Amino acid sequence: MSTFALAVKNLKGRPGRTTALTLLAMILSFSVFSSSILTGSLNRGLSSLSDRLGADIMVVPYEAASRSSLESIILQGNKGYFYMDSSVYDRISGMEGVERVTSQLFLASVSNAGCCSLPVQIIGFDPESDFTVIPWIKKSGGGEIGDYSVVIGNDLTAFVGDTLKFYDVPVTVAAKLDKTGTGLDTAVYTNINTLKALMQASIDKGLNTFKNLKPDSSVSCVLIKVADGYSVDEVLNDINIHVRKVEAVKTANMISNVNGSLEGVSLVINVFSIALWLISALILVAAIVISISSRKKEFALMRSFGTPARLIKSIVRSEAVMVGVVGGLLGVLLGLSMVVLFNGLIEQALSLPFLMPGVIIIFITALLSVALVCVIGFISASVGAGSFWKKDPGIYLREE
Amino acid sequence: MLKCEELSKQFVRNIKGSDSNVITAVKKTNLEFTGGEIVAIKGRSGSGKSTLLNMLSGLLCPTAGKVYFETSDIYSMNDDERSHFINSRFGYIPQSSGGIYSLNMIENILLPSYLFKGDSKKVDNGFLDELIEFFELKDLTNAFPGELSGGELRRMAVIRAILGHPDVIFADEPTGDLDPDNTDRVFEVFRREAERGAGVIIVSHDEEVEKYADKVYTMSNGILKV
Amino acid sequence: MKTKKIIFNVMQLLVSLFLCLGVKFLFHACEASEDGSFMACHWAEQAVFGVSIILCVQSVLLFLIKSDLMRRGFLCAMAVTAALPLFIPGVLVNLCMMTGMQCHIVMRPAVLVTTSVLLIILALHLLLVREK
Repeated sequence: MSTFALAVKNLKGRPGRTTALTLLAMILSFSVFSSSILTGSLNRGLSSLSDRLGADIMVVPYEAASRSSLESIILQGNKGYFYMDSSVYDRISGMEGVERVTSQLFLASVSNAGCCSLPVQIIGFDPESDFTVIPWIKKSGGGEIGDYSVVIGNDLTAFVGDTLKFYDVPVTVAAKLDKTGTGLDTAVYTNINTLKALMQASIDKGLNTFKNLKPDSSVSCVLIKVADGYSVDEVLNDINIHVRKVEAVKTANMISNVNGSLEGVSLVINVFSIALWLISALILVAAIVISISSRKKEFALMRSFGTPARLIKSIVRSEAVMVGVVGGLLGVLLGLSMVVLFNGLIEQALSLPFLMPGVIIIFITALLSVALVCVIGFISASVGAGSFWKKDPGIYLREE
Repeated sequence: MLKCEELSKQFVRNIKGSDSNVITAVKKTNLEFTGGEIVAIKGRSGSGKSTLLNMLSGLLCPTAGKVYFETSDIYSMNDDERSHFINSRFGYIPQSSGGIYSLNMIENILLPSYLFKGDSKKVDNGFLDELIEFFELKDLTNAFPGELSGGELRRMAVIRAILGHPDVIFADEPTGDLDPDNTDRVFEVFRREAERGAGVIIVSHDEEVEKYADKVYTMSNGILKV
Repeated sequence: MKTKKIIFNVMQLLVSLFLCLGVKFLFHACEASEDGSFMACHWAEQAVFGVSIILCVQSVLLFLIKSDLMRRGFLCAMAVTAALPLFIPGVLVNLCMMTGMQCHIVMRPAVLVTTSVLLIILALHLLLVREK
């Protein structure tokens, strides 16, 4: 009978104890795996957001500049639109320190009246000057966006070739963007010509808040890339001083706000996970050491017919590692089902960018979580077995 | 065959009202056993007889002295060597009736054979069947220790110890838990092994053991007397 | 053994009831529109509700079955029924277009997890009966 077979029999022979140890291992593995995936997803979401925003400065109408409403539209994909005269774009284009500038137009579809397929934020970009959306479309495998074509965020369940309707204007889905883990995953992007047509349709139907709007001479925001040698603050102050009725906002500030919230949430997750991990680890170690200690007589009996000490240590370690593997895998499975299945709910509850890692990273995290539990089990078994060898087997036999 | 020279054992215990914490369980003992005989060591509880037995069987390191089996000094071997030695040359029946909880009776009996010899095919299956039949354990071979009585566990331990035809059999209180019929059976088996050339060393506080033994010693306060 | 069977029966009934009541009150689909019309996911909720009622009835009927052979057959049939909710939301019945809606982030995962738990209990129950 091999060490492995004997260890398996020992585990099967004490189902209550084995179940308890496996549950502890499961909790340990679950806490390590879930907290790693959660904090990793938050960090990925943040860097994804930083990539997505692209621009250094965002210029919006003065009334729209309250930080929370702007962030809720830009970062959380909440629906909203505001407009300013397109002459703002022309003014900013000629200012010192501006390397690149582009404009965007916002619109929101409505959920009632049957004129729109779904209620989303629609963002129109200028294909000639854009430097934020087009690189993202190209990265996701999309090409040029013609008139009456749209590119949809990853969280919309439509497919390339589907026809959607906004204000009774049909548009075709040309591409679907990669997931960003931000509210931008629920947005729809199109070129500025198409957006202007949709705006006009919304005005004609009386469904637009701005009834006297002229789509051809309106923009919602202007995005700026600052030239080398100029500081973002310089250009920002220049705009705020010289361009009336607008507010220039540093996108880095938006991200740092998110970063601050993210750090807070990550800290809370990590503190709870570490606490859970420590308690589970301590209980697991204690349980293994106590269970070995309670089997002293059995081990002494095995020694009495010539079982070497190293073999008994090997059996005990094998048992601990087996419990670690099974419990570890169960914990990872539980973590996967909770975090992967409910990641939408987690994302919504946290209101922070949240981007799950790829399959390989998840697999490596799972492997490391299981390995950690096995290592703890192995060390506990070694410690427990170690204390047994301090006395001769005859002592335990004599004590009966 | 088995010899001990100046063998002694001391333990450290916390005893109230005593000047010394050191207890001498076995005082300097010199003894020689030859094969082919049943030797009984009797004495009251706490006389040191089990301690002596455990030292002779390689399970308790003496404070002083040596134990030789033929020319091998048992306690000069490392753990692996001594374990292999015990497994191949000795058979031990412990005082308490017990077993490996997660193995059934037949697995408990065969476990020593699996440790070094590779597989159970090298076991004398004819002898195994004979012993199981002899001790009336045929219907219990798949039972687990938790399902067995004290007497059944004792008989299982006897079979485990003698299955491999060891050179020396050590038995600590082998008749505890046993009725007179089974006691007779155990000693019949011991006698057969002794006639084969094995040495049998029994430790017991039961005076009845004398009638089965070829030689009787008495242990009292750690001193062995003939 | 009889006690174990009763325990499994009770667990199946409780999980089926949880699915039945949960899909209506806890992890339900998206609310109706302002004009009273239902979203696509409402019908997924209704389908899961219907199947879970069947599961509850089957769990109750299991208490009446004495024969192990019949029990095994019934458990196999129940497992097939229990597998159906796995495929209702998002596969057999469409959900809303936006994946951030209640039906995607709450209803579907909750139905999947609850159904999986029920299937595991059924599998263990089947194992218990087979071993005998």
